[in-house]
Amino acid sequence: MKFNTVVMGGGLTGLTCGIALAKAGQRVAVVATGQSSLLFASGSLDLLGYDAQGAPVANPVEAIKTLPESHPYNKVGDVEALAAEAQALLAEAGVKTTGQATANHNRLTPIGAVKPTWLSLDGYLTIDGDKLPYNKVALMNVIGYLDFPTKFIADGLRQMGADVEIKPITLPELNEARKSPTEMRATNIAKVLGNEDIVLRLAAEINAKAGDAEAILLPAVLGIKEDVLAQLLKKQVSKPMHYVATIPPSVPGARMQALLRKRFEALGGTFLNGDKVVAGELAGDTLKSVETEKLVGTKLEAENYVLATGSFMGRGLVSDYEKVYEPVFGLDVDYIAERPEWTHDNVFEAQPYMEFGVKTDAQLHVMKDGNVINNVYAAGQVLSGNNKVKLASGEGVDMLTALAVAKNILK
Amino acid sequence: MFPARGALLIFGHRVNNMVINRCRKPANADILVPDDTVCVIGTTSDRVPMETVDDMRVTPQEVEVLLREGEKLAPALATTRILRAYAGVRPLVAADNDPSGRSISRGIVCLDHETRDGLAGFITITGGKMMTYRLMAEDATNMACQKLGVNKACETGVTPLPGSEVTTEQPAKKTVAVMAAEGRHGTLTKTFTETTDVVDDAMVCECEHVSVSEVNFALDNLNVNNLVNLRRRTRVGMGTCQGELCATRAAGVMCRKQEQAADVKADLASFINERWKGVQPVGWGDNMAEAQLTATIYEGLCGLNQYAGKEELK
Repeated sequence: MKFNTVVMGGGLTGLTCGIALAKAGQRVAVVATGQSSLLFASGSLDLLGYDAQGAPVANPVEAIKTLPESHPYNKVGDVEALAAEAQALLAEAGVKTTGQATANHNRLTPIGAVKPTWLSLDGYLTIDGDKLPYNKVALMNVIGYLDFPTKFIADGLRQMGADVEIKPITLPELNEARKSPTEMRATNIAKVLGNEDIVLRLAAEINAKAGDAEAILLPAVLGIKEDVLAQLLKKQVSKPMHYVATIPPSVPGARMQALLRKRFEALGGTFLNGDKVVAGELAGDTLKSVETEKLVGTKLEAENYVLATGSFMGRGLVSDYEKVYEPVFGLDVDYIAERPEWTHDNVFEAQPYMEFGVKTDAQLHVMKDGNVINNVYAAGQVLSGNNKVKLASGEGVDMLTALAVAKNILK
Repeated sequence: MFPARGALLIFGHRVNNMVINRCRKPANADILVPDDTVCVIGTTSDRVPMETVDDMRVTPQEVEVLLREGEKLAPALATTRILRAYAGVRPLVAADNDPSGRSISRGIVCLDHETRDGLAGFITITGGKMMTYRLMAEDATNMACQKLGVNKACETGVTPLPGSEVTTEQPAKKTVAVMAAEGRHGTLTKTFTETTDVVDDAMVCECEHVSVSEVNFALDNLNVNNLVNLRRRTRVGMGTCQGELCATRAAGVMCRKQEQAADVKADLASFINERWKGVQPVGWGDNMAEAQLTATIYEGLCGLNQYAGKEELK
């Protein structure tokens, strides 16, 4: 099979890159294992939440200029323009967001903490500074749903001066689902709440319990495939209502994944789901073809290739007792040779391993044995130099490096 | 006192259902013990200065020794996932000139300081192992009773521990969760499984099958007041994910009053750090992927670091 570009990895990075290339008229294949880190999404996208010293960032575009040279943002070009492009790409896929690259807002986390972020999905609670837009809110939760610790969230809301009442809600269908002890997970609840009739009854239940609250907060357990039901509920509820992120699996993340894939396929892209690239044929500084696990005997040939396989948790990087390596091609990896130096004693310290990743040149080409491979690029968390947890920079690095790679390919 | 430090490795599942021991003079990593859902290889033995007995960090050298020797005992360990490493210090009583403490008997030493040192009313009970703690209690109790003039033998050896009474009941078909709970609470299990509704059946920890009702039982009856206590009583957070999602659920159930919320979140931060301390010495392969996922969820998604105490942030 022949393509202009083969993208390895079908998460936020791979799909962003695939969409950008397909939109430009390329014939693109995305090889995806089927699950991505979007399953752990918050409903917001981070660009740069904290600077290298750990201080909250107000203006990501400005603060990015202070990052060390090794950070991948230094290889993407115009951050502000790319960020706007990323937001537009999401909107075209049906993922509507609010926010801007020059001014972070705050999001409320599933345990009631507040973190700076770049974009939030429509319908999610956003906070300017440290003050809620309401004095009295009703924090609702589905009875028996443990992945939305209401007292923790109420604690966070009270810290911001709000009066909070916790209100349990349920429906006969949810009572039924609850009989299976492991059924009460966000994505399962979203499936139960998967039709118009049940959403209308849920709205009635919420309205009946709202009391004198000015606004209603609800766990993000609605709209796993598309936004329609989540928006319908919002319309039917008589007061302002916002979704708040839950403990994974993430419903907004699953929805983003589904919508981005749909958009990519609508643009003519080939999405090879449940598969992964396992080997490639290198000739000097050029990758000739790749092979996947499932398509035995079939080679995928392309002019360019993009490695968007993620970091350790995505298996784009693997470590063993002695080393850290890139498992598909054995590419050059930036890491510390001595294993005891990979980690620090306390879990909340900046862990060195978080910055490990494949080595790239200024155009994000990968390298092997010190030589640049001219038609293979890397994007997203597989890149070295980004501690996405400390910097709160995950989605920004994913999307901006993906767009930068697409531009380099199209040049 | 002869503090002898020992380090052990915990593997993610059982490779053996009976204890395997190398028939040789006591040395490093010569016993592989199945325990609950895991198996444990141990141990090293090094005399440590009294000042360092609270330092439970496992060193890379200890991990290397345990892996190298452990694989000789059970080659399957080379390909079995290591969950974590831990260390403890044995309160041995030195009996001879043995620099490692290896040859010291793990026997129980019960000292009557009245006859030994002229200190009336002072008893020391030491040596021993976790395995023999009730026997140690018996020795100490009997000596104390003798001194107090109580003419009665200690009964711990013939009294079943709560939950371990022999039962003749033929119970109905059990769920996996109930069987798992019985492994931990024995006959006490029915006090929290027979009276609950579906909300209480919800799983807090899927690796170890811990339900809401079991957490509540532990809070109400087993003096549990933090997540580490809860873990010891229920195995919450001890499975393959090392507390990735279950710890938050458990903390949410533990937080019964709104005023406790900030403290419980701080306890959760401390618990996640405690889990990390055991993972860090074996932080490669799947453990590194899992650790990154845990960090992504707890710090990235949730912002739990904002509740960490000074100890966790240094």
